Amino acid sequence: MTWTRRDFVRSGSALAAAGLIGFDGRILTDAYEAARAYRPFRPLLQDPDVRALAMTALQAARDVGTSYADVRITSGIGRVTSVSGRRIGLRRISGSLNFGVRVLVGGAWGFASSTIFTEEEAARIARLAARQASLNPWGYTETIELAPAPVVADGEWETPIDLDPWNYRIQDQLELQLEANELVMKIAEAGRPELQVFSTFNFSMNDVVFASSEGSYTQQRFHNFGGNYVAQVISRDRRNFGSSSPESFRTGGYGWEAVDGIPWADDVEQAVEEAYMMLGAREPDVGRYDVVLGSGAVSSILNSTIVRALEYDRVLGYEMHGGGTSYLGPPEEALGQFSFGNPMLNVRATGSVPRAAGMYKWDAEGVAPQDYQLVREGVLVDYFTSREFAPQLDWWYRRNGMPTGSRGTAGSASSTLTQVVAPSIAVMDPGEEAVSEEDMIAATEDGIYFRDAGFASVDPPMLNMQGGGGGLMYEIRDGKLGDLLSRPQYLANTLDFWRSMDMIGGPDTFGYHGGGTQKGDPLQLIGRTVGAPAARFRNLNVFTYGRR
Amino acid sequence: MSRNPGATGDILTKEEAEAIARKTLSFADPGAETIVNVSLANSQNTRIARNRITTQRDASLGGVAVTTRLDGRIAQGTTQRFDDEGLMQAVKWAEDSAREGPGGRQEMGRLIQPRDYPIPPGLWSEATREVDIPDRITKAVSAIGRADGYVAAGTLDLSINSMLVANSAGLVAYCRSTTGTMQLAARTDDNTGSGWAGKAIYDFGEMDTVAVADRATDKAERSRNPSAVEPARYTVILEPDAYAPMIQLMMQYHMDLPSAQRGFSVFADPNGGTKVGKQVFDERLSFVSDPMDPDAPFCPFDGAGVPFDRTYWVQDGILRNLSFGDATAIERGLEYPLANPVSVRIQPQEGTELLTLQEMIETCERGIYVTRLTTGFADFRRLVFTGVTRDGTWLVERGRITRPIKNMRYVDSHMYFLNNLEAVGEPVLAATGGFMIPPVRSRDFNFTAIADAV
Repeated sequence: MTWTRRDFVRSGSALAAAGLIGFDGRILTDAYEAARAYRPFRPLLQDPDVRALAMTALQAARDVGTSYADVRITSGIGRVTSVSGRRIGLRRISGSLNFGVRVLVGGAWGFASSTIFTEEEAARIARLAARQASLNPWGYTETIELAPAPVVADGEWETPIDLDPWNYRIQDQLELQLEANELVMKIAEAGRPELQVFSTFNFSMNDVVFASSEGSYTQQRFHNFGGNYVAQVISRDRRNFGSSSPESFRTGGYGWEAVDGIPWADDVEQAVEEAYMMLGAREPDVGRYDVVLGSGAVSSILNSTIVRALEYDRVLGYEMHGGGTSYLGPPEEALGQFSFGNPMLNVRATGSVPRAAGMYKWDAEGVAPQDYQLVREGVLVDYFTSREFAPQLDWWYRRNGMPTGSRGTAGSASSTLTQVVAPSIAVMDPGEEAVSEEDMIAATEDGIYFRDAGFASVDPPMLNMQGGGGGLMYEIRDGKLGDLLSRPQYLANTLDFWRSMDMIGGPDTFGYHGGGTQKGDPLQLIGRTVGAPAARFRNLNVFTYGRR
Repeated sequence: MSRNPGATGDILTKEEAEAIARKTLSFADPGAETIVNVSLANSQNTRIARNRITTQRDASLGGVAVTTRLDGRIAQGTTQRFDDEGLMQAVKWAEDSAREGPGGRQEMGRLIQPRDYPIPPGLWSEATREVDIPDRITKAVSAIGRADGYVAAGTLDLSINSMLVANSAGLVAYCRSTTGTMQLAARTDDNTGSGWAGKAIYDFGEMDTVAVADRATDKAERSRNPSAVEPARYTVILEPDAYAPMIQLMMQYHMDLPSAQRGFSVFADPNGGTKVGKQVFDERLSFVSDPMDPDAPFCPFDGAGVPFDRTYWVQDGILRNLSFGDATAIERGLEYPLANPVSVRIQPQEGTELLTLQEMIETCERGIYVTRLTTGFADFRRLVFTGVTRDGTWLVERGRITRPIKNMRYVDSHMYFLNNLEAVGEPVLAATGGFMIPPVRSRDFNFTAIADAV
């Protein structure tokens, strides 16, 4: 813990000067042997050196007059492999070790971070953060006061998984992946030469320590499995394209169980069939249709038009030059008054969903996420906030007998980036009655069914959307599925769209899907999980963009 | 390295980076082919929202990436640590991954032999490296002051970078750079007008934040109370920043030869093979990447030391090159792969009459002037985008801007509108940096709907 940047530079140069390193870069000492005895991953949990580094940063911040400080330390490891057909494209193991210090001086934020993991550097970074804050001319005029938050003096949590992926090797990972690809290759070789298969398996583990000048100290270990496994086909004339993933391929808060013992063979053929079916899809006739969206399709449009619009920093205009603003403001006019005009619409935050990507026990400010309502029966009743912003809603919380404070929705893509408002899990509640997708289709005369997760393009204030499908989309005629459609798009005003929702799926149609947000400077990409039921929307404007 | 406590802007000198690289190589298996990439970047950000500075950030991010080729298998290990244990760890991760297991032989990757690289002029600025916190704050404060009476948000970012590549064949290549950008959005107090402007720099002395603020507020003022025009196909006058993101996405995801050969890129030919040799853009346009570009220089080699030579991807509208890896390079008898730096200049053909934006307006019978577009993929493989206009959109009639118009959604692509070219201007550095993009006037840009919001 006493290694400094100057030390390593000096010792490296000394080695070179001593002639131990030849020009070909190889050293003729026992360093090579030493490298065999490496420590594979630097765990942070229960490491006294890590606590010492955090305390050094907090003390250095205190010494220069900060009113608040927090430090986040991350040690991570990731293992990613990509295979295209039978060809291995990527084998990579990545490590990260970094920390960031955030301070308040006279009511202004300063932030600094580094990858040099020494106490000396921790103190330097804390002072640098303080200097950033103290030079902000607005610091003493518009004071930031953090909402009170419970101190978590010694918190520890780990993403629950079944099998530790780090007990397996990258070779084991590649073998399972090659087996998976082989299932598709076999089909391709049996007379479908247009068929291709790609897969990426990506395991990660991140230890994150949070310590604050208020006395919180939390240690969390996050496990995640990400990637893809896709069968793709291009028509011989290269004009049409289809791709699909086996449904058994799941990503999120998984360990090795995500890839081992999964019966991909059972549904890989279906994925291939679907990819081929997409080649034969026809373009829809432009017009107005009732649209039935599966859970994944609702999830993506919900994230793009409501969940992101509920981020309070966005509402305030913090993203005005970038991602945009939000129609859900200003808060004093919108809270309790803004209505989507649809009592079926209920949106809430939750902290705990098994296997959800991005799930945490404490957020990037050390606050536990709460289960709470944001849209109740179509009416805006709360926002995603942080300790900085929650006091601005004090008037609303008091009026409603609710505590003023962060609900635990501060996030950050890395300890080297500042905290922003970014909830990890948002949910639109399903209906209470057991309405299925089939029921909705049967009740629809002239419509389009988007089965899978799609994409949404929304304007900066999030008021004008274009939704599109991924995967399979069918026409609906007199309550029955008809032809497969190619690239139908629906265009709507956000408020009209949610008002037009007239059927909502029951709990059996509900599912969780990956979503995310992009915000901040520099831009942070923060993943989240968004749960939603299937639903039907009336009389949407559908078009397509054909070839030119 | 540290100038004083609390200093910002530290990077690695060549000697410091080389010492780390040599030490890393010393940990490597002598039987392996090894590439080491050492970097240290300092990133500084001043965020502006609601007419004040909201966040001040400084980050020093180091990294070492080790690429190993052992028994014909290629693998990588990376670390952010510069201490011995971290360096050993990265080496071991790469070697353990490559040493055994499936694959091998078909994975090509020759080491780049020792060579000299040019030093791009203008890529490094002492003035930028020496910027201290008060300098950034002063620049941000002047922009905010200039936007008085408007609601302003934006960001001022600086990045000071150092990178060194060394390999077990004796290559040592070092590059350092300074880049920065200022972006500001301003909206009128009645919330009906919005404007945006941005500027990228290498030299902090050229960071004119007042000019950026003036452009943003002028646009906000002139876009008050917009009225709608019917969505349809229009002639458009596009500022460079309006379509720079499309060019960036094409360079990032579509310039790869194998993807085009397999049919997954926009440069796949419908009849098989690729579109190399075919016309893909108006013949007045060339796409060229050159690290020595005097207006937009970049480091002259990639993370493995592969040189970025001056490359015409598109020459006089004809697709000339797509990037490829070492297997193709060997096949073609070339010394090294054709690497894609992503940075590119769209250069009008010599002798083409270049119009300013003002001249494009003056010679336009009827069209729409676009400041900025949001850009998302509508169709990745065909490189079709959708999004909306934002922060300043006007109707042009009989040679002048007649009124601000409501934002509109579009579905279109530079693959189309750079073929429907009416006029082109002098390329300028995009606000994000890295791209030299000319303003253009094009026919038949596809607006599909009103997006009635500011």
